[in-house]
Amino acid sequence: MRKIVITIDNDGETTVEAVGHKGGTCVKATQPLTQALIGTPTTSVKKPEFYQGDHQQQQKNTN
Amino acid sequence: MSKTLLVQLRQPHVMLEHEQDPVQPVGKHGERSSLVANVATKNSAKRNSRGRQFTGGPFFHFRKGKTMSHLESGFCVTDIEALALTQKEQCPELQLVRQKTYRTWATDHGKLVGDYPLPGVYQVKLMAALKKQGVDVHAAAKAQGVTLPANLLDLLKKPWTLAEQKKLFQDDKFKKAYDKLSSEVVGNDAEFVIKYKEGKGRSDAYEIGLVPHPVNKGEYLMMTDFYAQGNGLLKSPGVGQHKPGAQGSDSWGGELKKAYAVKAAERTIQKEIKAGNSEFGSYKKVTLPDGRVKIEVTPKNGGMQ
Repeated sequence: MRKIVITIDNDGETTVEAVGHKGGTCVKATQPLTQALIGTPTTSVKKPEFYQGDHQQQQKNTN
Repeated sequence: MSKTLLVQLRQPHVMLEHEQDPVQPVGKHGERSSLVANVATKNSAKRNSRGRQFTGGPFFHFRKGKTMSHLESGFCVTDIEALALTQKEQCPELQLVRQKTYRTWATDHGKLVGDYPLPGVYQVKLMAALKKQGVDVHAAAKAQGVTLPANLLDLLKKPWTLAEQKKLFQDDKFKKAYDKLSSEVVGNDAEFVIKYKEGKGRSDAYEIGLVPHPVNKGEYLMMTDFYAQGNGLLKSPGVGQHKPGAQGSDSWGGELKKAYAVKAAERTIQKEIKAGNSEFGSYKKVTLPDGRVKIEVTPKNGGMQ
């Protein structure tokens, strides 16, 4: 099940977590919150799940 | 001699993918651009004020056995209205006003004490000023035994240390630029200020400045001088006092910052729900036993893949 979890600690430090997302949907889903609460993103290291959707699509195209 | 320390409540995010010249900030803040053009803009970021944030910024996590995509952490102010509402709700002695200067030791005495490294954002501005003068800051720093990051904006999240600063100041160019920044920029670059209402607090209380991020438009850094609890400001109800942290990871303003973040989160969620964003169907908010606030947002379809 997909969801977004925001955790705000006692100093205001905020964590935005996309749970259960695959492919680039995680970024799209959390973008409004990360931009509002954390700010403009810097560099990011993509997890395997990030590419999962695209990879599956690519496989389809090459078949 | 008291020590003066300017800190930021948030570790701003920096564009790391490509070098972005801090001398040419982009954004909507005209006065910021003007300051940059003159010498350097100002933003306060205290190097060790929130040490753990320096390793933060958006990053992706792996969680074994659990499908998740990513996680990002940090703090910034983007919703001034939410901050104003928060301040009104829980800081009865204070007010948020549109104001350019925010009171610190530096504004009272014309310079920083210098017992802490320059806050990260001011380090960026210092570099911007020197680059504006045509100084090859990387080469000049290297000559003093200090290696600056290739992207100077990285100083925002990992500022140089006091020891490195002392090395840099052996070069007169750095020292002169620092003195100028300290006297002309620090405390004079806010867009909004949180301060005592008339008749409240000490007459010499410091103030919290909302300083525009030098690059990211619409983002603000919360800056203050936490010496003596900001001369009493941080003792005002609803703000949150300065707390020394391990290895200099000090924090302050936790109550205000936390309440703002919760309000800003809820306002963002409500806005996305109203806009019809399918990822924002409903949400629930709970306060955990340790005081943290957790908000879970469920998509419109219940979150089923």
